[in-house]
Amino acid sequence: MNELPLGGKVAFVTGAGRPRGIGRAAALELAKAGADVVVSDLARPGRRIGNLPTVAEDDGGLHEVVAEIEGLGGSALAFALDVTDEDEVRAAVAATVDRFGRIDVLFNNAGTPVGVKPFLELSTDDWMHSWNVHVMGCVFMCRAVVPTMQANGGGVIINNSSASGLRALPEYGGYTATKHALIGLTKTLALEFGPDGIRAVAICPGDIATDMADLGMKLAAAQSGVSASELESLAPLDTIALRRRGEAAEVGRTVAWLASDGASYISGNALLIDGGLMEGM
Amino acid sequence: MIDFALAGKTAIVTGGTAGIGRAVATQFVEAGARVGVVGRREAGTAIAIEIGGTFINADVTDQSQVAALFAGAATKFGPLDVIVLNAGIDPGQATIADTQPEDLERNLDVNFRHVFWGLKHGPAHMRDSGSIIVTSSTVAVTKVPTIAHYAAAKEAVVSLVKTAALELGERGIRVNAVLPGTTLSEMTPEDHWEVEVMRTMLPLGRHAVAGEDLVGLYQFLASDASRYVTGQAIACDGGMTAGLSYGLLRGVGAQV
Repeated sequence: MNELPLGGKVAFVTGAGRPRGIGRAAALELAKAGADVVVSDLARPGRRIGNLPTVAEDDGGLHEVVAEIEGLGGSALAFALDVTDEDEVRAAVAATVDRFGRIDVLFNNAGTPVGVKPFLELSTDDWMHSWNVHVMGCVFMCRAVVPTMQANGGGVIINNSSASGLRALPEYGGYTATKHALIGLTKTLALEFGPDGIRAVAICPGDIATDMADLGMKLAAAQSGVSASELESLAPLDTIALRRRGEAAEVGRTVAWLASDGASYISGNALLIDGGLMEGM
Repeated sequence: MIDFALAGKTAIVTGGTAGIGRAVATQFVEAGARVGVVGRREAGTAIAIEIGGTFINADVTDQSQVAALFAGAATKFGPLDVIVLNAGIDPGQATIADTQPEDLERNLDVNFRHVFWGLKHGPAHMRDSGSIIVTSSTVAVTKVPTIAHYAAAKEAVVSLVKTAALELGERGIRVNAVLPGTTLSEMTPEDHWEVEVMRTMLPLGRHAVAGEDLVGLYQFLASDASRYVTGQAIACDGGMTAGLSYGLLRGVGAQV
């Protein structure tokens, strides 16, 4: 066990620019496990929801992640990448293969809270954007990366779904439906590419302390007319078996493990990382 | 990868002298844990020494022996960090109509009551933030004719796992189930009826090997890397429960 579990492997993580995000945490854990890591995030001014910023509006976040990965001794590469743009995806994947020669681990993590609204207020654009980021983003990345994995004799695709991929919350319709879809997509990938030695796994984080979760909370607060701090105080930690929110690093470590040979027979799963939120009261 | 290490942790593995349990005990020792290997076979002491653990002779179907084994282990090792309730038996194949009452009872004793006694008596001797892992099976979610009560017991222990996760969460103790698919082991050797039948159903195209494909999940769940994962039933089945494989579909003549 002295050898690093992902030594010599190359991982590609989308949505990795947020300082408190699961993508950044996963990129760092993958690097700690020995992988070279490619990180990407949306770099141009993002779609806005009201007055709240959505994703990284510059690539400063990515530069910091790159520095952190290099600080851990790994090689890193960063791309400003909109996963809903297949041309950009293809270019980034081609550049990655040029640089590293392979991609062993793909963590489709980029997400958007744009689908968090009361159902009757969700516009068709909101629906399509949520679909494009959560589902087509994964489709575009997989179309570009799977042939490389097939050529290398295998790989691991990890898709960041959500506890909302398995159950619903009121006023999370666009998010919930597309995260459900991502689990179906993951199972399809597991079945179609299993014979190529490619594993596909969905992870389903529960309430993790990230900007995205807090943004969802703020949106829900704004819609229900209470302050975010009031809503946070109402957030039912008592419904979580472990009585606390999760940390991004806790999800990141799960991603690193799934990427490793320690999970060599795990495929097609939807794995909850929720502190026991979904198992009862 | 310090998070996956088990250095300084104490683990108890029931059914630890053979099959998946032996592979898990071996892996835990390699990852730095002190491991109590629970079993009943005469060769248990020799097997435990070979693994690098300590043999604990106990009949895990006997409530008083289960209580005593955890109390004894805690006295010897200090508070326990990890308990793997893995002991199991293959009750053989029979339809519900043909099932003998003694086979049903034996199955419930080992595959169900043993887990209940472990969850009842183990946590009192655990450190807060410890981890309990129960070996279930993919038959908890996907049924096969002729193994009704085995499948029912394996589904029942998933229910126990979820309730225990809720009851022990306040102590930070996590409780999860592992659902192995067909895994080559002493209980399921190469010539077991299930092995050839299931081969075509596996998206990864191969059966699991306990020491290579299963132990990583147990180590993950035992380690701090999984410290926000609780109440889960995690399949380790090569994709079998995700849906119908190419092999199965082609076997029935589907054009895919």
